[in-house]
Amino acid sequence: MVREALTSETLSALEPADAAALFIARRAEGLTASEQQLLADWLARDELHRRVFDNANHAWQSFEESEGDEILVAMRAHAKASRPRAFATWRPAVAAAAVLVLAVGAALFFIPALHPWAPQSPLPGSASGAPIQYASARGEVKELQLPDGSSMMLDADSAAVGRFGADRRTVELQRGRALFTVMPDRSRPFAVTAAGRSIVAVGTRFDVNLAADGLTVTLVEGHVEIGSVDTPSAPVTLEPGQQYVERLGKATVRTIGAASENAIAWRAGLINFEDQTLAEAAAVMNRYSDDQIVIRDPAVASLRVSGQFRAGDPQRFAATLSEMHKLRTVRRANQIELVQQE
Amino acid sequence: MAKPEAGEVYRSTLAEEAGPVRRWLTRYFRRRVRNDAEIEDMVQDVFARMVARDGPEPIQNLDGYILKTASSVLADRVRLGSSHGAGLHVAFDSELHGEEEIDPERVLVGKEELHAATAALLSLPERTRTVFILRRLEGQRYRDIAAQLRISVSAVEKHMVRAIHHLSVELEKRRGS
Repeated sequence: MVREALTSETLSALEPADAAALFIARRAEGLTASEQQLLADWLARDELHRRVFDNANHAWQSFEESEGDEILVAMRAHAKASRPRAFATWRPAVAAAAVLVLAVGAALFFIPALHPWAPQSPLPGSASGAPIQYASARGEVKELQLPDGSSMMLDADSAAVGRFGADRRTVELQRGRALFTVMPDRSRPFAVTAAGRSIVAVGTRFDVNLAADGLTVTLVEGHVEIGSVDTPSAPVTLEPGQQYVERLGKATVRTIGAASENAIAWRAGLINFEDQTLAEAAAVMNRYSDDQIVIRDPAVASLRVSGQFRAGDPQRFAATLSEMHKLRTVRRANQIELVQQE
Repeated sequence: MAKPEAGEVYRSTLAEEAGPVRRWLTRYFRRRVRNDAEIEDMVQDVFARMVARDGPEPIQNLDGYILKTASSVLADRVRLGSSHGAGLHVAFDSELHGEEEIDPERVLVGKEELHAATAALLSLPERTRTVFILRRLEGQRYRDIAAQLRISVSAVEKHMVRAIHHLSVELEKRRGS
């Protein structure tokens, strides 16, 4: 299935009118059983949903008696004769192939001074296209269309620069995290650069995550090559279910299997922590809310946290952590400080 | 559809076979231009401009938009004719000269809902409109549309969502007013 699975989380993130339009658009190709169920639940949930759905359905139906209409006949002829825009270089056979997914994550609290990598720069001699800046605000997850037909879901408080040249497509992740749905094109590899590393999609579905103290690449399925931006060297290749972990310049590859799916849980508003420090976890939580978790006590900051949390709910995160680690919370305006119990 | 005026003869086969819009345009131009070959071109030009429209300005009603397009096609031909000093024989009858005095008949009769939907469709970006038409009126699958336009299937779906959203807002506005 090429199209993205619809979940109640993605649905509730949409404006009702957009959700209604999406249901009508998908209905044209046939709704799956789970989409039908989602639609029924969604319609029952709110009178407004029912109203906007009726409007969208009405718009669809208004072309029912269009046969023979002169203007629409001319519009149809024009549409049938439409060709790709000049910048699109996909061959049709490739365009019809399965869409690839690539995710890259970079934590906001990544401190350049602490790691040995060179400052991020575009690949030498690579992209000739004009740079396009993408950014999202705190608490805002954006789905963006890239000029090559790929799409990028930009996580909260993130920034990236895209360059789409004739022989290479590059997205430089400057801050935060993003999930890419990459259009396959053998003549123009799709590379994501972050923290001096280049992750190249080679017809595959995989997930990459750049954490506080280094880079983590998780392959969900297919094939990726990880190389250095600056120094030419033999790239590291991953098998599905494998994870490439780089900490302070030291790289290891481990097998994690199905847990690789956790790496893209943020799309559904969920965040996974795996034996990370509380300081790291708090910094991630803080990307999704104006209520900020604050930790001043180094002993608290170095506590470890594992588990799945809901993005945008720092109160619950603080409460859970307090219970787990015998802490208490001190609330000041939009700050929630975690301190040790006396 | 308004009846042709007494004595008016449709010489062009195009006008004979055409629907109300082509007939109306043919008559509109015939009153202003004395060259049948040119008239046929100008009618085609009106259609070509309409289907290629790529502007975000809303179209209040389709009648007005057809009229406006016809008058700009005419204006361009007049300019072209005068700058070359030959070719067109433009005859602006004194009582027809000026925007207020153009044909009082409506171009389109009936099918109000469809015409409102067409007007809403014409105020979409050209590419979004093309995707919607290929799916809704040509019945093409998303993957075939994606292949034709060399965009991703998810980009096709986004165009569809945008089009349906726009159409439902515009048609709802119209019903409300």
